[in-house]
Amino acid sequence: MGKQDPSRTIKSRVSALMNSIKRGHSDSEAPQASPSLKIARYNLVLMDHEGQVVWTGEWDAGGEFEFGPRHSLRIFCEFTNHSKREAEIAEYEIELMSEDGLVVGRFGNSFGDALVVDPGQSKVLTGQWQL
Amino acid sequence: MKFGKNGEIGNDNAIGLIGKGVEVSGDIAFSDGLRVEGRVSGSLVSDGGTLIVEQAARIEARVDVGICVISGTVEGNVTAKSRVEVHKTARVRGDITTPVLLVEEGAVLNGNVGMGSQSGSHLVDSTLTSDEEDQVRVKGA
Repeated sequence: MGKQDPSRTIKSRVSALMNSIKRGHSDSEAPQASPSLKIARYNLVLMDHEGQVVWTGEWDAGGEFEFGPRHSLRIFCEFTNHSKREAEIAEYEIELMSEDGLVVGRFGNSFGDALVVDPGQSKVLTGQWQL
Repeated sequence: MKFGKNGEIGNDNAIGLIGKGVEVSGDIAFSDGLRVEGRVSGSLVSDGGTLIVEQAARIEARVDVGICVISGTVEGNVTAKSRVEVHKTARVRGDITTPVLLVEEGAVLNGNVGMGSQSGSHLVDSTLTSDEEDQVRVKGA
């Protein structure tokens, strides 16, 4: 049996060590499977230019449902301006809520020029999510 | 009535069933829930009930319900007051009108999706009552 070349042995040990470090590193960076969200209700929050909440509405999704990593979810919320003057919306948020009222997800959007909703008019605001 | 994963309904007594091998043609109205495993053509209507279209089911009908959970084939427009779930085995050809749409990867959808003018799930609360809605900050206020 021939003697092993010491430089080769060191190289292979270093290589094994590097592989183990790389494996450990990539394990720690591996994406965690996103847990599913249980959604029962959702909110529409309208804000002005200063980020002040000017109106909120809460809707019932008709019972709790599960929103998982392989799903895409789209929600449409409708705001109707029942006041006698035009309403100006600078940004909005749609909040997803669990049955016990916790906010489990949030989608927002803002308008460069404020969105103006005339009296009696409605505006549909949409949010789309993927986990 | 309690809903579980994929629209399972906890209380099976409350729902009707159109089983495998059954073909129904006409207008169907139901109250709490209907599970379809067979074929239906015509219309399926419910005020706030849940329609579950199983994987083997084929529906060629107008659907207007509270909640619609689809795993099978649907040809026709679907309107739901609360939500529509389209699962991975589903094939839908038609427009979907609903405030909440959940689509699972793998599902096939051919049609438009929108909220529509008559749709909109139940608004359970708003921070302002109609009398107070003049308080919505208005332009120039």
